[in-house]
Amino acid sequence: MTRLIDAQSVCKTFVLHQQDGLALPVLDDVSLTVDAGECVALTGPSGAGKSTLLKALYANYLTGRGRVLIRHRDRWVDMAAAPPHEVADVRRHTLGYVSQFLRVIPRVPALDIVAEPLLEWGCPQAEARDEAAAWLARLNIAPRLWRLPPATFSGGEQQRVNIARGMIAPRPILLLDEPTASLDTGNRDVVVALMREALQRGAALVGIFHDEATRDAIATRVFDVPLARATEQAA
Amino acid sequence: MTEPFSPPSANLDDRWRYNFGFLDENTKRMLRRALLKAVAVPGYQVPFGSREMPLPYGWGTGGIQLTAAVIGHEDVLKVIDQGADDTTNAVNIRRFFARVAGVATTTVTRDATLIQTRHRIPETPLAEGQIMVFQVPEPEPLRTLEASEVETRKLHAHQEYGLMHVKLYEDIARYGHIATSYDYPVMVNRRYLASPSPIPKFDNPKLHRSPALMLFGAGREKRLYAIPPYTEVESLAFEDHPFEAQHWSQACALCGSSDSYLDEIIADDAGVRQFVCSDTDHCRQQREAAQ
Amino acid sequence: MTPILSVQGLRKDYGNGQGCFDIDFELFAGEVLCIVGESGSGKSTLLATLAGKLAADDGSVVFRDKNERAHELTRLAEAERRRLARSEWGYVTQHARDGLRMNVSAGANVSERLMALGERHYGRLRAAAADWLEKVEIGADRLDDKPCAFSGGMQQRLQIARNLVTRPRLVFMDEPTGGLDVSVQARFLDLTRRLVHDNRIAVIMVTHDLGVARLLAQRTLVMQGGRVVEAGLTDQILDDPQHPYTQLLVSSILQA
Repeated sequence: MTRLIDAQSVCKTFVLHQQDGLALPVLDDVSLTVDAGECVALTGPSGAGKSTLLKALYANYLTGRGRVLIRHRDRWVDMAAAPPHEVADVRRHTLGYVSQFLRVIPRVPALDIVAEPLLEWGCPQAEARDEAAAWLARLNIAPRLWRLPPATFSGGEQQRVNIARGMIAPRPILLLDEPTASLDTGNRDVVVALMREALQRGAALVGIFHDEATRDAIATRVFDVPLARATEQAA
Repeated sequence: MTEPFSPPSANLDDRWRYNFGFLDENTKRMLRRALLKAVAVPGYQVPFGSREMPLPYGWGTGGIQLTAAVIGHEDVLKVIDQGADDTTNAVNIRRFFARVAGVATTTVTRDATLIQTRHRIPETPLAEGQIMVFQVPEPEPLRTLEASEVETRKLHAHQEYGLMHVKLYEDIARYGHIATSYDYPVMVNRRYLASPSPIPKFDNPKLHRSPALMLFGAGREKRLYAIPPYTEVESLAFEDHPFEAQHWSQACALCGSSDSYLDEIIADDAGVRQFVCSDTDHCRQQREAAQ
Repeated sequence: MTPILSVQGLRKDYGNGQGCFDIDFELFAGEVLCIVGESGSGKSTLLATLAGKLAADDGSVVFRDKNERAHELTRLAEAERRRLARSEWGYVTQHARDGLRMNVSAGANVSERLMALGERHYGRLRAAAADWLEKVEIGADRLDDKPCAFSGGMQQRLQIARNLVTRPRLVFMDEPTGGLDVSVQARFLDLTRRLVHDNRIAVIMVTHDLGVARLLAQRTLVMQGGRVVEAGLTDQILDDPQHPYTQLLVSSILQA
């Protein structure tokens, strides 16, 4: 299978300057490879750095040492070292991220929020909106809400809009941070089905799934994020 | 002991005689240099050291200095104000030069070599060799839109004249047509935007390729500029709102002229209105020709 | 892909320790870059120097125009700079009275740049002005009203229309939401976001509001004492700030 993620010796230490330079090591020499068609579930105790690893893969967090290689347009891009516009290009075309919470953009209707990634791919607006409508329908968002900005939606509704936005563009890699956390069983099954479809088209998935049923249903492999040495040292 | 005051007159001794044309020779030389530059760069506003003149700003201090700088013994001077030879301003300036330069004066456009004017160009076509001197209150056509002199100079330097069209745009937006009826902006020699002075736009076409030399003087603003003979002068406009001069449905009530610029006057205590030629010389000629 | 703006070693020194120093960055077509920092951090100086309103003391700023022609802005003749400024750039100011002509109508404000580029057809000018007023959510029936009759939010949107009418490649914005109420601000930001995206315009925006940066900008420069102390993707800078000053800024954001 094609390797899509090759993270080697990733380290991440937070330095809190407002606390006299307190250093918090979270990832210490973590390596992870993921192939197309795999779904890796990150596990480990709270604070072990599951979220941090996910964010390091997305270049949302800067890493100290190590490489975060992502297969992008048939070459490897080191997300830890690439210039911002290249990271942006990787995110646009290769690397999707479904966060726990929807970052609300004021005044933009749900339909347009979901359609946006397709528009960025150059998809005509009408087509992108039709596809967005199909995703919202599948995720059980009532059509009367499509034209409204999601700021006033319930937590579950916002999360489903977020999933639709994160998954609508068929990117080769998907990072998912507790995508089903605030969903009821019915909707959770829909999301699991969507993730399965992504795997079937050859995508690689890396996710944090607190809900064991979801994890068992979708994960092809479990990766235990090792605890960094629990030493706290002032710099 | 102080000298007793007595009015100057031609036969008093030399101490009371003005220099020819009132201004001293060095000032005239300064003005002529500025005028040469103005003629060489048509439409460009040349700064000059404006002198105190024996009349208030707004009464033609710029025009009178230019006239003083170019007038010669052989010149025949005509002075008009709003087209008329017999208004206070015109009569005073004509008398002034008769006294300080001793030149011949006339009211007949054709006979004049030098014509100082406020707000009109004579109806009689001008000829080669004639010089028009315009009195200009505000030489900067962009001033109402851009208060900064530094900025307007840059706009001229870089030939950025979109702003002038902003004003014409506003006219059409507000009145449905370009309502600017006097001091209508012109492009001189396809290069400099200039104010034709507050002449009615009726007179603008007379500036285009005129055989006469046109000089413009603004005393308070200390600027002069020129349109040399046969220079292209284009009145600004939009493609779909072309330049148009005023028209009247009436003819002159005195001479019957139908192609001259008309003033509306109230003729009697009953409020009877009449339209008559603004150019008194032209009107007189028309009436004489008819008799 | 070549950047439309490449800045190297740019310095503007007021001589009293103030100014901006050692500025390096690149900007690509369609990118929105926010410059954040407190008052006196040099962010407005940097913006004005980039736009050629202040003369740089050292360094290089290369701008690529629509025809992929490169211009070294620090050595550009005034005439050429002004030509670029009215065809390829826009400049949106914090105070509308600095960016608009308050004594002429909204329509004239919007169409001025078109007239400056030589458009001489009143009907087309008016149509373009009406079209752009609609785009910035101002009714075309306000075409003949003067900006002084507009609210603060409308004035800022009018500035956007006035600048975008010639479809510039690069728009400079100096605290465009500084004087606006929060709800008005959201509308302005959303509109800007959409227009910038639809027209693939690159934006350099100075703001002290990190929320604005989060919403609008892919990239952010953090300035302190005239220097860039941190630069990168906006979400990375806000979620994982490295520099002590950035950490202070981020921790100072009010949570709604």
